[in-house]
Amino acid sequence: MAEEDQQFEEVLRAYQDKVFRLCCAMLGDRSLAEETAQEIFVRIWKGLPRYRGDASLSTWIYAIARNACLTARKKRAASREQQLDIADIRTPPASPDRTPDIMRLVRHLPDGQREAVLLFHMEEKSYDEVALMLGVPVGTVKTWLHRARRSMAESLMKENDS
Amino acid sequence: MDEERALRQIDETLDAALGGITAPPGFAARVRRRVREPRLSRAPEILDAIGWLAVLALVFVVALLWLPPGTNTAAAVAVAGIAVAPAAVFGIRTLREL
Repeated sequence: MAEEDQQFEEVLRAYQDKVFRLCCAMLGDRSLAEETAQEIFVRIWKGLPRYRGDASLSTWIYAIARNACLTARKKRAASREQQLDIADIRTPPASPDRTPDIMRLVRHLPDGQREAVLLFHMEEKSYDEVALMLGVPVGTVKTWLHRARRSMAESLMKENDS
Repeated sequence: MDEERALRQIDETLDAALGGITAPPGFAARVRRRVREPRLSRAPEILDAIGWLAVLALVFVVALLWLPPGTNTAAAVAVAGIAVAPAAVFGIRTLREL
């Protein structure tokens, strides 16, 4: 096996779960996450011969992954806008659910907070790992998590009281 | 419900829902298959671009021939350049994405 192929195999083995989890957190859709994760590894394979080690390998991989997720998110938003009229007419209004649905609360958080919360619980509660994956300082991750948990707890308490 | 209990419920629910997520079975095999696919040839796009540039050039040559004598041809050429530049940018972007 060529050296490049061997290096790619090592990257694929070491990062496939982490990249897939990052895609899940940023896209919130398992099938789109898998498609995007595959695309990310194709880009990594193409870029690996040019990787010079200026940034650490994980930083380089997560930067590719974040860019690919943002592109996938934009494409999805554009296609949803085109389908919005039909979807609005055909989708019946949701029935009121009284049970506390934590995942629904997570979905309503701002992008950064939502991604931090999801990755924090996926990555065994490592602030450093989440910061590396999202490309932000550890302090920002802590702030996002603190705000997200407070906001979800408040919503949960309101739902229980009403 | 107090805040502490709400936070505990959030943590427990998210740990249970999100802990242990891994790439789907067969993911690595599908990636390997994709990276070993032969790369697409750029020849059709390049030939297409050459063809369209030739058509554009022809249109402008004909337009210049139709202009009345004494018309400022530099302005016409500038307009042609403005029309071709965005087409070239989109063409290059398409080629880069191949």
